[in-house]
Amino acid sequence: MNSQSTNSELLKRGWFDNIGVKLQPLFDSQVHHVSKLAVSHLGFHRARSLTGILGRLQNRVVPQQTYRIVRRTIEACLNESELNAGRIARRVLSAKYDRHCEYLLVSRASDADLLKNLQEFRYSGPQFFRDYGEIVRDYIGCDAPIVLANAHFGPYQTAMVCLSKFAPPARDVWIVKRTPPSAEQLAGYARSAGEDNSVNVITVGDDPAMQAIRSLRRGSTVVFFFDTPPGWGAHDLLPVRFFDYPCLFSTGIAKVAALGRAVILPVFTHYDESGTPVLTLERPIDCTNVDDVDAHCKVVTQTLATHLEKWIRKHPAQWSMWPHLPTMWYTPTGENENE
Amino acid sequence: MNKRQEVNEFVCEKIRQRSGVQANDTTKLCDVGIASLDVAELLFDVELRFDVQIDPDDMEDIYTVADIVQTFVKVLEPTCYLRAVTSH
Repeated sequence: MNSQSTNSELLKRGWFDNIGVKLQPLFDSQVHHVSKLAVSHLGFHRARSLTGILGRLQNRVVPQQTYRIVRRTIEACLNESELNAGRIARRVLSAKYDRHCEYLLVSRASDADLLKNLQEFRYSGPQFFRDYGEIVRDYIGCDAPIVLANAHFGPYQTAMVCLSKFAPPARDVWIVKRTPPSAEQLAGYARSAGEDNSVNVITVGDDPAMQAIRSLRRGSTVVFFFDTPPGWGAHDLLPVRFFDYPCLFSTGIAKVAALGRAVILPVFTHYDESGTPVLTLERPIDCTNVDDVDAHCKVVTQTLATHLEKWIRKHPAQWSMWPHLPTMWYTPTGENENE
Repeated sequence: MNKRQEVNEFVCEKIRQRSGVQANDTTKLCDVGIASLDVAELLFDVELRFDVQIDPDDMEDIYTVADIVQTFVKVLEPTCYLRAVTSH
């Protein structure tokens, strides 16, 4: 099922409906139970995608823009025609067929190398930790603060271990989060960071942008999610091309890095076939000496959006943020199209 | 014109450009729509203009134009600042 014609044929023959019948018992169960069943039936990748979707289907309002982005994604990832991609997208967004498309995407993604690997660095396992330290030393220098721009399901703790142990000097790590962490999460962060490093959390109510900038200027590392929504630290939105569609992205990361005189390290995390997280580093973006913040933000925000698109194209099945797109990315007018 | 006046003038001009408001020493930044990241950007602009860097600790508790001016006077004219603090 890795060619355009095969996908189209499956669509015509009602493959989605058939596979839906087979999978229905799985989805009728509770999420935890489904997860176990799905893993045994489908393997890690597919189970992860399917069970992840379960939690996001209920009461979802899907605006037209989401439809367009999903359609574009399907076009790109599955090499489907616009017509077919539109049909699949409508099914995806109707929730009823969400899982079917995800299943198809997983199959398609695992069958073929969709894009050339354009990433600069790719490390996994023990070698990663050593190389990470070298990257930090070679590209950044010991003293520059770091904005770790993290996309996907990034294991923060792994990143922090890298920073703490392989990027001297010892530096504090600040994590920007939407919600305060649990005590258990905090303990986990502290364990990962090691004795010489402290881990702190900045949440929405803490004036995150200013705190992050201050922390960076003190030489700390600040960990951001790529998809920092507008109004959360940075109110400015900039138009970027994303899947060949005009979107507005928050300038939060670019601006905080520039004002904090830091280096952005874009980090992408995906899971390999065994379920092991693999961290991929893009080339660092030097923001330590920015003169024109607005011009800088335009370039860096587009760069980050381009990275994101590339990663989604490469691992479409692991990208679980589609349902959140309407609240994160806006049309160039800043208005939701359905409103 | 001394550094204090220069910084004051520069900050007020930046606020006028951003918010269209004629600010003065006592103007509260939040009243002219400048908060959080905007404050940081304003401080950054002043740093670039006067080619200095302020201490991260001094980026806290900045609410008015006067707070910004005072922060930079500490760096640009440390002697004057110390004298002012002593006499105060």
